[in-house]
Amino acid sequence: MTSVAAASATLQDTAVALHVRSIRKSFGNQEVLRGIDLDVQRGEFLTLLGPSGSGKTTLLRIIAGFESPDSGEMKLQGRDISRLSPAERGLGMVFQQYALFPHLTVAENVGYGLRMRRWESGPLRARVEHMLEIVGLPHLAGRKPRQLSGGQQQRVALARALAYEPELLLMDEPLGALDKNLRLQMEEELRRVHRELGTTVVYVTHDQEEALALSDRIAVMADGRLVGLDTPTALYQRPTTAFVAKFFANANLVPATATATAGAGRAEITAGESRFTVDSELRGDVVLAVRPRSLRTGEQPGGLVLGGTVVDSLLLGDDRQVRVDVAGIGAIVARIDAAQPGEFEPGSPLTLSVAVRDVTVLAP
Amino acid sequence: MSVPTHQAPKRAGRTRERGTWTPQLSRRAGILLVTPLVLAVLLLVVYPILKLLYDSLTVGAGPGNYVDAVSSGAIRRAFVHTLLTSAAVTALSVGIGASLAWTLRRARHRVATALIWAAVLLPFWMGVVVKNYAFALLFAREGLVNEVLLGLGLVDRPVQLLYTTTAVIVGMTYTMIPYAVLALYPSMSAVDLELMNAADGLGASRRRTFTSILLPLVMPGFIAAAAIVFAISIGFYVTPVLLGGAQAPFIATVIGDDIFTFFDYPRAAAASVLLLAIALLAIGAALKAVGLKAIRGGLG
Repeated sequence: MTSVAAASATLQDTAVALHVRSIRKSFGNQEVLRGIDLDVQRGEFLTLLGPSGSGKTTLLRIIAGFESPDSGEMKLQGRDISRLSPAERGLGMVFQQYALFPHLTVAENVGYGLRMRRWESGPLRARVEHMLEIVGLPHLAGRKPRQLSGGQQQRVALARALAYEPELLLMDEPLGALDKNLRLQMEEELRRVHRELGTTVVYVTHDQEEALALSDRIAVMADGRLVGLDTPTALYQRPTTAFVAKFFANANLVPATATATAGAGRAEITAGESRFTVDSELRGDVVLAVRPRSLRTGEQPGGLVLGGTVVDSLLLGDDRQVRVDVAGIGAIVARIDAAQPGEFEPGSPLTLSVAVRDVTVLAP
Repeated sequence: MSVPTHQAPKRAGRTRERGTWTPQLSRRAGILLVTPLVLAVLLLVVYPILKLLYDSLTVGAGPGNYVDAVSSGAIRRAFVHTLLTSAAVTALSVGIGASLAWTLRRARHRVATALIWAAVLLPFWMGVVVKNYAFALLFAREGLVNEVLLGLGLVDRPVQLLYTTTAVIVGMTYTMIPYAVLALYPSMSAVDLELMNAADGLGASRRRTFTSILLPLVMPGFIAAAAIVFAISIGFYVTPVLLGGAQAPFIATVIGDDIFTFFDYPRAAAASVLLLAIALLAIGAALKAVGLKAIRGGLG
């Protein structure tokens, strides 16, 4: 794994808020989690990102204690929590549909966890007020959840989960039910609350933009496995698996062949007509991950050149997204400057190219 | 008004309209179609009740019929017995019905769910005599229950089971459980199961989750179920006779005897009105407490 993960592994154990080892889970014949190892640093905002069915929500619910794993162990601040009930774990959880108690007011919802911890009414009321101020809803304390908008309910759920200062906050696609503008606004809000309170957060989403905007680190999940764990920048620019490149950065995957060449750790890559050398230990069949934005029109000497026919062209404001069918390779998506001159009508020939430094060689 | 605007196109294109289908009935057609139902309700429900009320106040001793009824020891005892037994039946039916309804709510296995539903609804499909005959067989001196008790050595001689209040309560509860389940199920299936998880995650014990979250949310269903079960129970006639015998009759039995054996129609009318009033009171109190929606949900 890359530098950040390596660096975090050398950190002292006390910096690890949540320690997850070899978690496995099956529902019937279906293996949902196939051995998950994960360390979440204290104060970190870590996102579990993956397509639906990748096991991310199951993992979160196992951490919360709503599902029990078939095997594996979990430690919270060094304390084994594998056999504890959700109540005993004392985590905060924000549910996908918020799960606010419909018969209780906003203030009673926020104060519920405190009441269960037998807080006195004075400090309880003060904390509830403080939490409602943090999420910007002090004027709605007396309302019932059904009288609130989706965004407001979301904030109440957040305040409720954070009121008793849990060691870990778990969030299951909390923005999934909101429309786009509200989602962007809530992302900002979440970042601010995380900054202000410094709570460790494990966040589940299938939306890579959301993950990019919020996370300190992102754990990419596919088919019950962790297939990438790194900072957003590293995952985006230096993906380590073809799945991460495709799912996370929408990269094009170009099949190619790597052969040994002069110099240790170098490989000669052949992809269609193009031939160039890169730093890589891989040999044989490989894929080249090329992000849509690193493609240029026209030929660049020494790089990967992809000639084909335009299938579709979409104007996206400042950008133009062009889909090009390249013989022997398939559809390639490029995102180029909309101001760039050229013929992008479907059927017109178009040559795309990418500099060698923007090509990532990965195992297929 | 809608009448003139409706008539306008009729004059304009009568032939075209004849073949088309519209989701809205004209007012005249609506009144015409609903008339039979209104007549049936008036004739079969409203008239008999009003006649009963009128008779109870005019025939025999007039309003004195009520004094007659209340001062009769047999009727007073029957009322007390009916109300107490019905209260026990209500508590048992709602209690058992609640656990069945919650099981149905939580069950994930489709076959298991179907079996529970079938078991719950079975008493609905059986005739009242068949149901009671089954219990009479079980509770008889040489019945299955006594055989098991004797076989296990729990008792030396057969226990008197038939013709006891316990037998009546068991038989009535068996009949009333479906009503309780059907009244409770809507309010229980409306509860988001994630709320239980939320409470658990916030530190609530199972008991606290039940008392602070689940119970308040399903309370309307409980009240509706209790009112429906109680109101139906106090009118039971066959089960108390077949399983309870003549020892401690239900009020319906006493009313029946008054009519068919003693020909004391005025007193029977007064007692009937009192019984009806208690049933209406139970339903009315529940309506006031939880509103029409919960009750209607319970009645299907």
